[in-house]
Amino acid sequence: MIDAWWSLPLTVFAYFLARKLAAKINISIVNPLLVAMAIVIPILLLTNLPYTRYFAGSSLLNQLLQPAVVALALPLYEQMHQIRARWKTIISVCFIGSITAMVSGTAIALWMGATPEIAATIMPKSVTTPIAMAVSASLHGIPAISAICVLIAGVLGAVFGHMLLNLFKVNNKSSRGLAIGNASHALGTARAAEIDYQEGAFSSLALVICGIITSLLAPFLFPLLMHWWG
Amino acid sequence: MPAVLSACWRYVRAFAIIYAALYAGIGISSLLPITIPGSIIGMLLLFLLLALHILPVEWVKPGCHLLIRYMALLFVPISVGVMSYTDILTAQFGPIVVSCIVSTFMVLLIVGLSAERLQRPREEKPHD
Repeated sequence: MIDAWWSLPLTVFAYFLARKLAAKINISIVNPLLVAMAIVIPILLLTNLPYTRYFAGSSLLNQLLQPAVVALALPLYEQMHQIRARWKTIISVCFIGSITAMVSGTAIALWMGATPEIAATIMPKSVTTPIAMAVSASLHGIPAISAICVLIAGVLGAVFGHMLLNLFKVNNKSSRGLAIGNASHALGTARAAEIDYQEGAFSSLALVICGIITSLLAPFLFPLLMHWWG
Repeated sequence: MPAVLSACWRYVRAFAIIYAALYAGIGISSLLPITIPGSIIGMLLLFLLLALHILPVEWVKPGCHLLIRYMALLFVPISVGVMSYTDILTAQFGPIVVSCIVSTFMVLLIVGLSAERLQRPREEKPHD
């Protein structure tokens, strides 16, 4: 906690500056999270401060992630009537999404020359960090790298997700939310909730369902994929 | 200043409930044979309490709104961590980075399009 005096204000300042900038410049790449990263990383590199000290100083924010996930119960509750009317669609879409995420990620990685260890690391990349790290460990992957893959998937969805969905004319708020939640877990959900409350609700729903599906299926699917690969 | 005090009390109450759900979730997750994080179970618990009208929504609203509104801020510290993995990411660029990128876009499109298709018959879209 010794580093909190500079790390915490730096993070908060970078984030609010980024938010202001993102509100002014309406391009998807000017995303609050991405801009905040682009402010903090160069500062740490220039001042030669190690990431571990920065992270230790900002650990308060990281600890708040857990209650933030619990707080997603509110949008879920508020959209309950919508969800009840479409629960079949929601479950089948999340099932399709989870399988696509696991199979495509692992298959492409293997095709590009990944070792089984790296393939296992990539498999759970579309679910929220704590689930992804646990699944990765159980498949003998590298949890720390899984966290990075989760981050890549999350940032991509948060930054380019809406652009891509617009391009393919996915206009329903529920479809958009489900797509973002499937591909980009909590990070995408945070962005979806920033843009539209209902979209955020469906995104958090997908986040929960996909997390559960992935943790249940990955232990069976991974050996099967490795077997097919030979 | 009773107004300020009551506002504070509303936030304290909301956060107390959220943390209670979180710790109950963590407790339950340690008992389960599969790995589902405590925060996800906590979310389901809080949702159940709201859905069954055991807990009034107003009690948790202030805290939930605050956390959701600034959720992206909470991801900044972890995200900055990319900087400490640059060597493995450049060495394994194809298998790790490219597969994550391609697969993420595939999921976005497949889910988005199939959700649109599955919902279309029930919704009124005469000109589509």
